Amino acid sequence: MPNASNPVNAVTDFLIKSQVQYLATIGMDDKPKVRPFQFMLEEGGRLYFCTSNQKPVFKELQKHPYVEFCASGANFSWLRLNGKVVFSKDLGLKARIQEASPLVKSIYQTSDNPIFEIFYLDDAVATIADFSGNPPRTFQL
Amino acid sequence: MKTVVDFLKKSQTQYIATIGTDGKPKVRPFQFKLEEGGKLYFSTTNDKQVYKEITQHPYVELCACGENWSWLRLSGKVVFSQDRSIKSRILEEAVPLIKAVYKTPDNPLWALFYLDEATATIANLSGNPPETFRL
Repeated sequence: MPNASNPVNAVTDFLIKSQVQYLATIGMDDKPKVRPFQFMLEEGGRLYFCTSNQKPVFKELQKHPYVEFCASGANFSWLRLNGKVVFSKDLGLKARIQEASPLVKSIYQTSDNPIFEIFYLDDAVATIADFSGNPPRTFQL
Repeated sequence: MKTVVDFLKKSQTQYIATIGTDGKPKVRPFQFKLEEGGKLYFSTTNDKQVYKEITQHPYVELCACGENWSWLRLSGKVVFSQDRSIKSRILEEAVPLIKAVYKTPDNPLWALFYLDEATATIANLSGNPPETFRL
């Protein structure tokens, strides 16, 4: 059952409403990289994302698994979410992610597509801030 | 240059990635200020964490979304500038929120910078190859 006091719900709500997040990684050239990304789903308190192992971002995550996401929300609020990327081979979750996202389904077709990768964030910490003058809210997930 | 400037202006918000003082990547919302003499200017204040990060590691990348599922990635090396005329222009064009942050061109907290060695890429989901711009 969803629990409004569960910190992961405030973060997943923000991620879903924002539609697009921006994922920062450290590039193979040791310089920062950032591109649009899309939150897929939350399962068992873990936040899942996906990508292709043919992309530069996959190599970057292998070499340097610490990442940060940023997204904007209503009333000039923003979320920053960081953690350590852990890849998962869970075929059931891969199927659920493809069912949940027509775009992802159209790209990868099947949950066992060998280029389709899913990952979650371990040791995740999120901060939601705005210009209200109130201190940012921090969530340990 | 015009294509990149137009994209930045329309996107309103960009997201700047830096390398944190802990060696991990950081990203937060940012706002393109203006183009002058072929340079893209951004600004922050020197009491912020991001200032420490770009001082220590001046290479950054910014990302923004545009129309029809397009996106821009802009990378380069941060070079700080004390150009008072550019600061004045930024204040003239700024929304009240930004004016309230910087107040005057002489504000000692103001850290104005542009991107050197800047490269921008505009891509979309059309299947066409991305466009790359060396600025």
